Amino acid sequence: MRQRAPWQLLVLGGVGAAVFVLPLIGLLTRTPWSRLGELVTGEVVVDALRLSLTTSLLAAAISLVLGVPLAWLLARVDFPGRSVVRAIVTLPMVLPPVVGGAALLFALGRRGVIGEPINEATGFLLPFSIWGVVIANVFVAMPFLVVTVEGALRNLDGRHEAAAATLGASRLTVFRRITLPMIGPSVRAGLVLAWARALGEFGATVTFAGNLQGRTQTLPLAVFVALEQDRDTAVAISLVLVAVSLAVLLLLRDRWWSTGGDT
Amino acid sequence: MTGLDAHLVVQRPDGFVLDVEFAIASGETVALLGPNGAGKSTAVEALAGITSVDRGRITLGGRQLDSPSTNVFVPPEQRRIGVVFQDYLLFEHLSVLENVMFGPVSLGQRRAEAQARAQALLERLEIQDLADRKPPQLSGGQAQRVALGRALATEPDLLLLDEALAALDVATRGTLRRVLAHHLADFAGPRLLITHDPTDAFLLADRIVIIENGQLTQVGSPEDIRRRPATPYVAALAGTNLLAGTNHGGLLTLQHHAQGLQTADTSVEGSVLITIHPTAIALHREQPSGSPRNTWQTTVATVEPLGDTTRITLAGPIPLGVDITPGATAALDLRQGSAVWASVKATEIAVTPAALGARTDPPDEVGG
Repeated sequence: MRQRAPWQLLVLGGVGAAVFVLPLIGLLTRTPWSRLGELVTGEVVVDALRLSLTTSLLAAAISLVLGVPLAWLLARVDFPGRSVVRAIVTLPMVLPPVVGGAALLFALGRRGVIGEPINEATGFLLPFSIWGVVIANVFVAMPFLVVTVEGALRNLDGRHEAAAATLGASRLTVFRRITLPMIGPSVRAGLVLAWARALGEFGATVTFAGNLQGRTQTLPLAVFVALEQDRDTAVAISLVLVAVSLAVLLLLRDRWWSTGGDT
Repeated sequence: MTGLDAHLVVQRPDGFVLDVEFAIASGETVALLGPNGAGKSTAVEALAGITSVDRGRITLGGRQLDSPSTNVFVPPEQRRIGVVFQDYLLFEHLSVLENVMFGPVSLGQRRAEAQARAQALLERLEIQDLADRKPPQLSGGQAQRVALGRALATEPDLLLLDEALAALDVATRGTLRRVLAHHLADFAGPRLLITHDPTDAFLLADRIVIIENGQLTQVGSPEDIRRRPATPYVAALAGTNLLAGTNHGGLLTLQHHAQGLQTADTSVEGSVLITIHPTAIALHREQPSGSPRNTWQTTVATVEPLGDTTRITLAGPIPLGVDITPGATAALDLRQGSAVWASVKATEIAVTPAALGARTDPPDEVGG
């Protein structure tokens, strides 16, 4: 049976949707369509797009490799100070990214606690390198994956894992062959969230890695710079970001995300 | 020493204490039977190594698995105990064949060998056609066999079946019980059946261990248990009438009923549990002549068909369950409210000391 939506919900929900749709329309109305092709193929834009894709994908991959074990520890091992560690891990979700970037600089920068010995020993400098961008991205993006995966692990009925253990599987085998497949949808959802967050990352990146075209200038940074100098380019880059993000979200939503919440 | 020797003492955080001791020889099937909440799941967890015992010991095939006094605790993956879990817990992302291969592969066997072994097992269980299916596509009975195959594939030292038939509907249970009995007989080691269903226990087990409220209340062959139930719970399971009373030279005074009974057994004096098997009670329309001394008039409370027999329950003075043939029910024209005479021979009334019943004041009338 079809039901008409109550008008109160229609109005409020419609206004809610407008919050997201209107800025997009604003962007589209200001788009210099005739010059678009020329603008998005400009050197600055192509450099930024390549860097953004590389660093956000790398950050997502690192978040996956480190974040899933971290989520497992937080969900399954009752170590002292666990709630403090969990709070610190989720801190970047609420912290202004600029603060995160500054903190990274004090830790890993040229004069940082860890950065200085590394720099003296190897001459390697994290800030102002592509690895700086990746680290800044991981810092802000990984919490999304950890939170998603930890939630899934907590909701997982441990009896299948116990069954696997009685069959002779070691803890690691149980994790690899039973736990991971069972929380697969949540891992994928967390991965998409982390990647999306990394792609849009601005504050920590600009603070920690700087804004060097071709080395650390990602798409969001390029937009910010262009807004000051060349509005048309800013709009064009924004449109590229919107298109890439929207395409990925639409593509993955049906296949991955819809089942992500309920495991 | 090839069997299982277990003394499980587990104190749960909610205050419940499990304390049971039993042994199973190789080739023997023991049923751990008890009502819900008796501690059966805790016993499974302790045996499988999912929890450790607080006191006691678990020895399997001469190998110590858990012994707090000597600081031994073998983790589940090294226990060599094949468990068929309640609702089976098959791995849904793996095919039937991969489920059965999981154990051997985890134990380090090469994939090709593991696959050959799994295929042989599937054939023995007559489910080789299901090899490529995923668990959600299986019926309850098929899933049960896959779970059994998965447990057997590790060649365990003990086969542990936790409520293996509970998830099935009544219609398929009978068939699958026979299939299960057949496959149990194929397994050479000790076999432990955890169940709340007396039918499973009585039909599949060589010996039954009864637990109630975390304590062992009776151990014996199905026949022992049927004949001499030690607690009202067991009596109810076996369909036997269990009454409490006192015996004075064969004259029984019942605790809750005015009617007296006579027993031929004068060996046990004082406080006793009285058992009367439902088939030992005869019903008559007229007062029987030359009658046994235990004869009284009563009315039929309920009539209930029970397979090959009809279960009649009698109203006061002594509420009892009686099993007679459907033919006799028809011949006597027994219906609810019919007036009948009941009689029991004194030799059919068994008495056991009340202390064995593990209850100081057993509730009366638990027959049926």
